[in-house]
Amino acid sequence: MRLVLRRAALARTLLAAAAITATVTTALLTAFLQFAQLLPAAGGRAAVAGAPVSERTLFVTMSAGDNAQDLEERDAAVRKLFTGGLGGVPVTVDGGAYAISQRLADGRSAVVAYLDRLADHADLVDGAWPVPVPRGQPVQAAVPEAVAAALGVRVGGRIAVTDDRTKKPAPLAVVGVYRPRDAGGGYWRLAAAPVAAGGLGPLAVDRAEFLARYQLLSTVNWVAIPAADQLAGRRLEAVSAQATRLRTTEAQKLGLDTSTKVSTGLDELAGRLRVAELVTRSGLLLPALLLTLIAGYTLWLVAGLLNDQRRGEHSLLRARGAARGQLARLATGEALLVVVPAGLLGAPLAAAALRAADRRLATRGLALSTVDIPMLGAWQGWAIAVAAALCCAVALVLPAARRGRTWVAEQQERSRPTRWAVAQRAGVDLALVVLAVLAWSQLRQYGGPLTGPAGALGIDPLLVTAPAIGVLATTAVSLRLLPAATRGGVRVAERRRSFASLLGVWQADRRPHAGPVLLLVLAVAVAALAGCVAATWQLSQRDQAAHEAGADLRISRATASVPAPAVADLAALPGVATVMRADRGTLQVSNEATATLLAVETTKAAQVMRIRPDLAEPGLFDRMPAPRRLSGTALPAQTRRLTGQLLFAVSGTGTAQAFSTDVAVYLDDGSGLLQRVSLGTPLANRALPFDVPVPAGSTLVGLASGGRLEFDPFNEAEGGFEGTVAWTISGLAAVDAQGARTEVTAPTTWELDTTADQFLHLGEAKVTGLDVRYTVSIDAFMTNAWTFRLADVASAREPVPALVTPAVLAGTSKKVGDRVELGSSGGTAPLEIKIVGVLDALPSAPGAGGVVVDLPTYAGYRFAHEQLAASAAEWWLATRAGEHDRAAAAVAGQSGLAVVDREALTRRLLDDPLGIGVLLALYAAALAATVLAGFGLAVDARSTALRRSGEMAVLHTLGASPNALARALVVEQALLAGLGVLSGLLVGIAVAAAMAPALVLTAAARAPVPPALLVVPPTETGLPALALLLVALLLGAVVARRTRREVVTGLLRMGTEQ
Amino acid sequence: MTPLVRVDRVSRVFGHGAREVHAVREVSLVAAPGEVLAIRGRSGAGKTTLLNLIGGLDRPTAGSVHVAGHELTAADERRLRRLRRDTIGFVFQSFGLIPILSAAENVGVPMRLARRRARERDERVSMLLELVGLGAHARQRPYELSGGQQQRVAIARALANEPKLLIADEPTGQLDSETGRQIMDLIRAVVLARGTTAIVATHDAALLDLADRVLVLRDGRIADPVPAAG
Repeated sequence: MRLVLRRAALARTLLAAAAITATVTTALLTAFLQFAQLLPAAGGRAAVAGAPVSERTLFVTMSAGDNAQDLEERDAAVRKLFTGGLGGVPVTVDGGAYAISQRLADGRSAVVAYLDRLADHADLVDGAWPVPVPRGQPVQAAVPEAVAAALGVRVGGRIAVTDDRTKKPAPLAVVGVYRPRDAGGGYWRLAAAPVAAGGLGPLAVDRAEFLARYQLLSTVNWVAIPAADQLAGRRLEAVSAQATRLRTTEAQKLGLDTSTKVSTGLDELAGRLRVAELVTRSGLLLPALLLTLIAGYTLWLVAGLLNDQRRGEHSLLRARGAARGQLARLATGEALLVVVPAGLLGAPLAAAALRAADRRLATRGLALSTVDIPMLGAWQGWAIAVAAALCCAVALVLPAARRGRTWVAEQQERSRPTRWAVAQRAGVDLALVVLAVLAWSQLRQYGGPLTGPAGALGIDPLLVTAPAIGVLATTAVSLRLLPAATRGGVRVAERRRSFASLLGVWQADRRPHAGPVLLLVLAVAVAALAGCVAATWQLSQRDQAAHEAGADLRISRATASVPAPAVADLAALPGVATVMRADRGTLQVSNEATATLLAVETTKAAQVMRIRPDLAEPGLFDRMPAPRRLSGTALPAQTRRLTGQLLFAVSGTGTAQAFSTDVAVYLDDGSGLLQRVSLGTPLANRALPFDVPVPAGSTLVGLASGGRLEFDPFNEAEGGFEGTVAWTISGLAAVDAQGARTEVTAPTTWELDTTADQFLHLGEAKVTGLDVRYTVSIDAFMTNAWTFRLADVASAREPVPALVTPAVLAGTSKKVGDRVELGSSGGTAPLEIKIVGVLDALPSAPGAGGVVVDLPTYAGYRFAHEQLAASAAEWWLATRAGEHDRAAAAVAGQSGLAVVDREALTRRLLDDPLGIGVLLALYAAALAATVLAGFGLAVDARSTALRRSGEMAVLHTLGASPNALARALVVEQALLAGLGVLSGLLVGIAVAAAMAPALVLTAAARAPVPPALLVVPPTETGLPALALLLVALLLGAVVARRTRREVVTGLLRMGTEQ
Repeated sequence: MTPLVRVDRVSRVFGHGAREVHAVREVSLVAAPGEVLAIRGRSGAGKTTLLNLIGGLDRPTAGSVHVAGHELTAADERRLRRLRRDTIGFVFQSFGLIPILSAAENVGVPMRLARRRARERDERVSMLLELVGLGAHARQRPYELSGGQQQRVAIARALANEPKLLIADEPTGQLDSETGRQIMDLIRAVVLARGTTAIVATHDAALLDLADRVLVLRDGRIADPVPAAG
């Protein structure tokens, strides 16, 4: 041991650097592997906490029974189900019942309820909790703060309630006002249903009072809430299995009343989390593998450098008879000095790093561990740290324990590798390249690192290690190219007279630099790859959000009863730049495939639709022909109303009676969209005046109505009908706000289209302006009808120009320029389109099939073919730069609208706890790679300084100036560092280009739509590269300075050992 | 004849106080042009320190050193470097070859430092390697050569800039006796052929007969002048 310590004292700087590097490496590796272990569960817990209460609770509901005993028995039976928790996870079970028969004075339902442990879930703002009262007195109730405000009652007041069954008053005395502590929590599901249905409550009463007065016709509920912090991994699976069993088993078999219903989303949540956790684990494996790779190599390099230092001594000792065992013991002693600090400090340092990460993640609502991370580290940390330290020790001891070769043989090998060694290395390189290509092709084929059927997805080892293999293979290849680059440097330097430069490039060219350069290449490549993957993931989330939304804001009506918002109103909202109307439908592309039909105002699409540039050719919408408009009579700009008189004249013989259907005009509202305006339904031979509002700036493009001949089934007289039926609009005038009238006439281009039932003998119609006259006869006892339309639809009947996705081309076997008729899944007439362009994916469409048409053209087509006035169902908004939030807030303020907000979607995707964890891991891997490489390079620099001292002394003796020697070192380091960093960048970016997009998966383990695009972030990739370049140059400069000083001031022993 | 090397009462002390070590004590000597001067002594006798002082690699604590008319004690680092590069050739015990360079490149290093023209350099490298009998080994690297061959390369390198003084510190220390003899023969031949002065430190008594004169160094002092070899 004394010899060990003496040797260590002589090389204390190098050993200290090695020990620090080993410690940092071990700590980083330990921290990272523990982080990768903790994160999926942490993300799962966060996802559980963020899941809707219906998903993370189990809800049991049944009738309350007829009496208190019934209820007690039912309560006991339900609670018995959860005696042992749910799947082993502790469960909180609360019960509650609400009466469905109480009504407030204004007709709304009063949700009178009792809730278990209410005081634990609500804060009493005023008054007291209710207690039983003698019969005849109003029942005491505690009222939610919001309900008290809505009803305008306070403690001491009364709420007038009527019992629906008895129609008798059942007033409540307000004795308390409470505020729910966690209004969105699972507990409040107990009375959520009647409140959601419009009832006011829960108006909490005492349990005994409830049983005595309200139990009959009441519903009793229990909500079982599993401990959220344990809902992860296998426990969640067990909970899910148990919940599914309870949900699907007949109530009687569970010992419950037959009216029981069990509902839970725990199984769905478990399934979703299972896949999401798998995606996270696969995502974490990449940085974990990269970090393990770089950490392992750093330890190996440090061990190699120390062994290099000892090589001469070991050869000498071996030559003088030292046995392998003795050398191994010596090396073990020295190795212990290096690795013991790593083994001892690795876990506590890792714990400190994890605590720091935990604090950072806490700001994003993620807790790495359910318990405090121990200061000294968890046992897993100790296991990893000790294992890493042991590996390092083995790497240090192994060369000394190997069968020894002669000093000269070793030096010869180092001076110029043998052919066998060259062939061996080439073979390893080739194997790596073959493996990388195989992994890459498989990754492309599967589109991600997860394979297997939907229910049994798993991480494919080859696919998940593909990027790491890619980094290794391309690094190996780049190292083989390094000599060519340095040889070029030698050729350049040889032409110059500077000895320092030549010596520098000689050293760079001929020294075995694989160690530090490989570390540099690996570190820069790992950092660049991690940066690229992280940036690619982030961009993909934004792209997915933009694709899902389709526009900055996409609005639709929340329910059909909500009136359509006016474009002008939306356009006037703050921050809104453009409003584009759209309609949506489904088209049948083939027997198996459907496509989303999106009819948009194509003239605005380029400004509003968020189509990623690579998904569509530039100016795609310019290829769309100008929107087709129906011709008609333009109403004066200020028109507000249409007035006139309808006359439905019927003359003829027969028992059948003639009726007119609704008479309507079709107006182009100025944007090409058609609006059907009903003028009224005239009765036979009676004039019907009309006065209807119309949008300003409209054009009258059509008139439609129809007739019907109806037989009286009880009239046995023979004879059908024969005569003339005529519709006349007289005095049609446009009226402005001031009442000024302008006569409106029908365009001369209008043509009549008639559709009639089979047995109707309809003579040719005679059209004069706004007068349509038919001769009609029928002789059968049946009701027959016909419709007519006056409009100019000749051009509107033509196929609609459309942009389609490749899936539609494939499904129809068509190409650009072709026409194709697509069935409408909605049962309407088929749509014939003319394909004018292709876009790779249709924004806002869930599937691969998509068809985009111009909305006015589509509306004209539908009008021409089906007499339908296609209208807008969606409003797509583009917001002004920097004003999105303002616009979103303004839109949110409009009632009755459902909004898809691109920015909100982006935030949701980017803030996904699991995603953030992976992102953090990637950045941590990049940072760790940079730090580790920095330490590795420092050790190498010190080792180089020691190794070169003899050589430098010789050159100094021969007349080389210390400055020239220092310059040579700087040139050497600069060349190697530059080439290493450049190679690393190229390797990282090349591997990222090949694999990064395939590594991005959605939480559902699917490839994202649109496909992820590679992002090479200049800062994230450039900064580590620049930092390492600077570190390498700085260390080179430090070594050079030290060498210079040593050469100048040291005593030179001529012929010093090299 | 003016001596090429004149060492006058030179001392060299390392360390201070109790740790003070007198490596060389008031040594005086001269070496004439074309003379082979051997310095003999045990390990630690001060041979290398004395050679360092003569070679301008170290400065004496006292006394003066003149080489080829230059007073080394007063010379600045640049002048010393120039002197080492142009006037003195060095041969080391462990050869001191740069392992990554071929034999020819090693020989060419001093000429590169002296900024000699490429053609002249190449011609002279070839000539020197032929001189030391290694014309066929020009492209081989040090560890592909035997010890004797490496020392021949080192001698060729030492002669690259046609030095007036050749300093050799235990040039045969790592060689067997036969090879050591050949190396000393080579040094002797070169000195005779070019009129170069050689100062050779050795503890090998068998080689002393090749020197013109032998100085014995003991505890840093010249103990006993030995007559020149016949």
